[in-house]
Amino acid sequence: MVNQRKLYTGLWGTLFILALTSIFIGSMELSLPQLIQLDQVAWMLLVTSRLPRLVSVVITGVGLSVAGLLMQQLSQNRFVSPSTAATQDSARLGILVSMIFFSSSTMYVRVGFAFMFALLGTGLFISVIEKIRIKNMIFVPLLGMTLGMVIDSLTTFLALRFDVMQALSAYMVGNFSLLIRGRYELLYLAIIVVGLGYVFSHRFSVASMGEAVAVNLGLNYRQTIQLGLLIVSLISAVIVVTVGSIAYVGLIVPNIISMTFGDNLKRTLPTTALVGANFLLLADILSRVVIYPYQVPVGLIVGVVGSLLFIVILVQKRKLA
Amino acid sequence: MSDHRKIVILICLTILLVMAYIFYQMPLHHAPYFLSRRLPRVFAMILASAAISISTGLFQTISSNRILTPDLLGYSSMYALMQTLMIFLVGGMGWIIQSPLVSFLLVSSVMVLSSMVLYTLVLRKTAGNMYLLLLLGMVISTFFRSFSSFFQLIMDPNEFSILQNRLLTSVNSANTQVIFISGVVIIVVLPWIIRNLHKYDVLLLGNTHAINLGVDVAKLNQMTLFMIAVLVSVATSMLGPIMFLGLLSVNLARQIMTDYRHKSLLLTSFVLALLFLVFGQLMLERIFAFSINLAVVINVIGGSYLIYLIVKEKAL
Repeated sequence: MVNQRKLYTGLWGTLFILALTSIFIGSMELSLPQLIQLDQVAWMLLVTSRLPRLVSVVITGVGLSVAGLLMQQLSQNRFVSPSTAATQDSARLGILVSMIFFSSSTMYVRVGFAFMFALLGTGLFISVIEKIRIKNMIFVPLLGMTLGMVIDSLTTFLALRFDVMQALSAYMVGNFSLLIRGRYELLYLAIIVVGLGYVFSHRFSVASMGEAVAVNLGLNYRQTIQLGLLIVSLISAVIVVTVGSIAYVGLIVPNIISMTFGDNLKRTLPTTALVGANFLLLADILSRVVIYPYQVPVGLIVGVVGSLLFIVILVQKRKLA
Repeated sequence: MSDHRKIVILICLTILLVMAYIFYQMPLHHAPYFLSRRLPRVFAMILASAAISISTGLFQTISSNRILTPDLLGYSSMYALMQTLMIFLVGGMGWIIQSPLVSFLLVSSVMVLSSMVLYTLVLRKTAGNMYLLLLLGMVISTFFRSFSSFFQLIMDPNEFSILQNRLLTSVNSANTQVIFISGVVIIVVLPWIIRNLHKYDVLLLGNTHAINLGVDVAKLNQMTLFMIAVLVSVATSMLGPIMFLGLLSVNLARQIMTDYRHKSLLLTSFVLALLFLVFGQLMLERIFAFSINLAVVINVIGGSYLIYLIVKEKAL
């Protein structure tokens, strides 16, 4: 067992260093002396662009990894996450529908639709897996990704038909470069919902032992699963609407944690959240320096790094199993 | 109904549709112009359906798995990556890119080499676990796709527009030079495959039995992976990424025919693929007036079919 205190200090330390790095890199120069001299341009840059970006990256990292963790606990499958259970794809379909029906839909309308569709899609997926009672760990994400592909094709079909492909493409690959003051505040909603997840984490831990045990211990199993679905869908919807789709974070981070720390949610949830924030912050910094002074969408960096890591985890798990 | 009669009916139906496609509303005095527009498309569809159904059928046999297609393992995203990399790396030497022949040969040969190394490894590592294989394939596709988007983002806009022309191909934009090259490739590859069809029939008994019966399985697998890479390059350069056409046609062929042998299986699935393509193209041009994207429609149908297959396979 790793020393808990040491671990937290380490994680907070790296988060702090990464956050500072994130604030001080960019195509426009920003330095500490400028800030101390109360340089107006520097402060404006900090407040309207750098800080909002830092906050959104951290919230997204926390939100995605916690959503992934909850999904894995509730479905009792290590490989279920917002990107492998059709959640993000359904959310995109929801955004598309809101674009078609309300041509000038506000962000809140879009979140509403994305949330509804994410809930429906993920709920459908969960009920399908429950019906076929599969024990194969690999089979479930496979089914989820295929379902996601079908929903995606449907979205593309509708988008082409109604000529909103270009508007929709903004939601395909996650990107932080457009998040300045006034465009990111919606993400605070995600952090509230994550907090809600933490409050109920005891219930989710119990539910993760399976319906029989959970009911035996006096838990309202159905209600807990539904609550979990609500939380996960809301987090995913908010993130897809503001940032776009980011694969793999919700899959990889919880797996790395559970490989080392086991499954007590009350303890693993904060760790997962911290590691998720660190991971995405690092990816974001990478996305800003790799073709400096230009930026790459962070979704691409996560796609490349994440798929490699996922392959490693897949092979590892198979050895353990 | 006997297999023989079924295949004859299918072939007649397909020929009828192809004729309808070629001669629909063709004024006689403008015949040469109309033919020059429509015949290349017909050739493109014929070559692509041959390439897609053969590559999918053989791939399913060597992986002894009925719901796989080369696309699901990332073959077509690998093709896209290779195209992207080529244009990105040799962008300065325009003549390589301008000539469809040279670029086709270059991309195909790099693709053949890298895919053989990768998939020999993957198939060996995942022996007997088809879900793991599929999942790995999807992850590998994501990897290739993210990687190519990355290069597409940082490449020169002029080079990017050339690349887009190469990648977003469809029957509507069939290029005669590419059709000619693909035709030659298929004619070269086909005799080898026909000569070896009986070996694939033996392979259906399982690897150990096949080795016992005198088939050099390792060598056959290598050669097949080689052929598949070539065929996927052909199909993708004709049609663009139509992921599920092969899956649909090969599995439907399996359901229609009672004969398990590859000769009739591959023939039927080729005819079926052509039938779908021509039918879809006719609908697209005459009824929807190009307002929908054929590849996307096939993906919706084929994807649902894949889910059905996965669930059914598990239910058994």
